[in-house]
Parts: sequence; structure tokens; C-alpha cells
Amino acid sequence: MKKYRYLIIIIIILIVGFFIFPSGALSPAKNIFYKTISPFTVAGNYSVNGVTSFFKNLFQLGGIAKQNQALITENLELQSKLSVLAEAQHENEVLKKELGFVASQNNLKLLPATIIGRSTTGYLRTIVIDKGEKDGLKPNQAVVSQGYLVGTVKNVYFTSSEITLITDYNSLIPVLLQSSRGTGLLRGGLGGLTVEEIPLNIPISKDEQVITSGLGGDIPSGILIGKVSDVISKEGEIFQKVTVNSPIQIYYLKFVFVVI
Amino acid sequence: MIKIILRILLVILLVLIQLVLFNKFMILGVIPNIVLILAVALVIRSRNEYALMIGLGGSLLLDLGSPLRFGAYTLVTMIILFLLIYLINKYIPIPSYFTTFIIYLGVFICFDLFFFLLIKEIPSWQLILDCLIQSLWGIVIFVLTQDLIKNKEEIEVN
Repeated sequence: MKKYRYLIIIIIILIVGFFIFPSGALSPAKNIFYKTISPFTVAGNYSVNGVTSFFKNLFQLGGIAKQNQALITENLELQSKLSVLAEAQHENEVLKKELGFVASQNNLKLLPATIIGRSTTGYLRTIVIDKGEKDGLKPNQAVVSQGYLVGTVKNVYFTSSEITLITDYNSLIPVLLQSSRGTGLLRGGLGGLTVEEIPLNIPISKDEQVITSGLGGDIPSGILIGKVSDVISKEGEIFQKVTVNSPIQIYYLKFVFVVI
Repeated sequence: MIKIILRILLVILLVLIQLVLFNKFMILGVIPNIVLILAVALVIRSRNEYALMIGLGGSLLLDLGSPLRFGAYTLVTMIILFLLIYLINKYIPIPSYFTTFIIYLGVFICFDLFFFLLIKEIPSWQLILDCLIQSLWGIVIFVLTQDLIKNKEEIEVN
């Protein structure tokens, strides 16, 4: 019996933890755990990422050169479009002011956060950040990186928070296809990002931007998510379904911004 | 007492390695589960007590860092470890490398099926890929720790 004393203690902790978990009583313990591992994770982010990215770049050198050329061309095209858009935006802002509108996007406040933890299995796509309740974070707030939506706040602890990435099977976000104006639900999962429940009468075009629709009220509208890569709905289905490509390598991020 | 503290430190170190280092070695979306891999290696080498200690302590800590319900990860790990101990004791006393690979494959198929059940998702092709990659990691770690973790029978004979 003495031999199994520690085993019994751990099993008791396990059973107690299992039952008190839904009440949130484990939040302080989780917070302490995340705080303890954060220095190691941050150090690991820099050292291991440096080594892995070096080898990754080495293997992808040929591809990068081609990609660079394509990006230069795309950049030039975008610059010309940008100048046209800047004019349009100026005109739009003047009109909005005249009409008394307040541009909702300007009210967004971004809080920078460092990633201090990642899910321990490839099936769950979650990260942990070093900002929590004391920084004003609340569940369901949007998390962005480089202007693109990467996830939503799931659980908030005192100094840390768990973020469900948009690639997680649990993630469900109301979105809008920018050109065709079709609405749908962005779903994560093992098969990648998909937008489901798009009405059949919407003419979806490839490469059109997918943005948040703002429905539900938790996530502001207009945050970029990615581009439509393929329409995958089958004949006879009552809704359309598309796959979405995000340009952000979400799992390898070091910092994110929480929209508060 | 020192022995116990050392064991606890070993488990903490293992969890840190999993969270800091092995999270970066994601191949085709698969993160090696070092705690389970090492625990299985210990079971294969008949070091059941250490295997249960690493399995229980390690997964308990990983449970704290998991978004799933506390205890779920530990429960799945422990069921698999107890089942494996029973099977190895009864049917496979001295496994070869091939049998070890098959054991890892079986362990990860069970683990992943439990996991899919927990996250309420239908198993997909990712399961096969995950189990194969995890099993390969298993063999690598099994071979690397060969000198560190001696078979219990080998020690008794010596």
C-alpha cells in the first residue's frame, strides 16, 4: 500500500480535477502552469525556430526565388491598385463624414501578445498567450496577425489566455465572401479551412477575399481571413462549400494581436 | 526522498521538452507525443513502475496545458498503458524491433481513436498518418534510449 501512496494521491488529484474543471476552479493552477512554462517556451521559440527556419529555407531556396519573382510582380500590380484605392478611400471617408458615419474599423484596439504555449497534439490547434483578464481580455475576442484573423479567445485566466486557432476543429466563425457577398461559416478541422452554408445562388469566384461578417457580435466585421482556393460542394447539396487559404503560417507565429 | 524528487524533476523535464522542443518538430501536422513514446518504451523494457510514473505524471501536467477537460489526456494514457502492460506480460515477453513498431502503431491507433472520441470528430486519413509518424518517432526514441533504459531481465542476469 505504501508503495502506491503517490499513485493514489495523483489519482485523487485527477478525479477531483476532472469534476471541478467545468466550474473554472482550475483556472489559477492553469495560469501558474502557463506562467511557469512561458520563459522556456519563449526561449524555445527563438532558438528552435531559428534552427528549423534555417534548414527549411535551405531546402526551399529554389522555390523561394520563384516565389520572390512572383511577389515582386504582384507587388507592382498591388501598388498601382493601391493608388487607385487610396483615392477611393479618401472619397469614401469624405462621404462617410458627411453622412455622419463612424468608421467602425477605426475603433479597433489591438493588444500585442506573445505566444507562450502550443497544443501538445496536432489534432488540437490552440495556442496560449501571455495576456489575460488583467489586460482586459474576454472570451470570444478576435486574435489577428499581420491583419489576418488567426483565432478567437477561448479561456481567459488572470495573466494568460487560451486561443482557439481558426484551423481548430472547434472553430466556427461567420464570414463574408467579399466580391460575391455570400455569407457562410468558416470551419477549421483536419481537412483545412472551409466556408460552409453559402447559399446556392451566390456566384463564387476563385481567389476572392474572405472576411469576417461581424454576425454574432463577438468578432468585428471586415477582418481578412484568406482567399477562396476551391469550390468543393457537390451536386445536389443545398449549400455551397469552399476551401480557404490563409497566407499566415499560423502555427509558427511568435506574436499575435488581440482585438479588444 | 531524493529519489522521489529526482523522479518528479525528470517528469517535469520531459513535459518541458514536449512543450518547448517537440512542439516544433511537427511533421505533416503530427507532433511527437514524447511522454507516451517514452512510457511505452519503458513498458516494452519491463520497467512498468517508471512507465506508469512518467505516463501519469507527464500526462497530468500536459492535461493542465490542454484545452480539453482536465484528466481526459491522463485517462486515455493510463488505460492504454495498463492494457499494454497486460498484453506484453502475457503475450510478448521480448519484442523485436518490428514488434516494437507494431506495438507503437497499435498504441497510437488506440490513443488517436480515443482522442477523436473526445473531440467528437470522425477519424480521417490523418489518423493513419499520425500513427505511422508517431510509431517512427517511437522506434527512433526506443533505439536512442536503448543504453539508458536496460531491459529488467538483462539487469537481473548481469
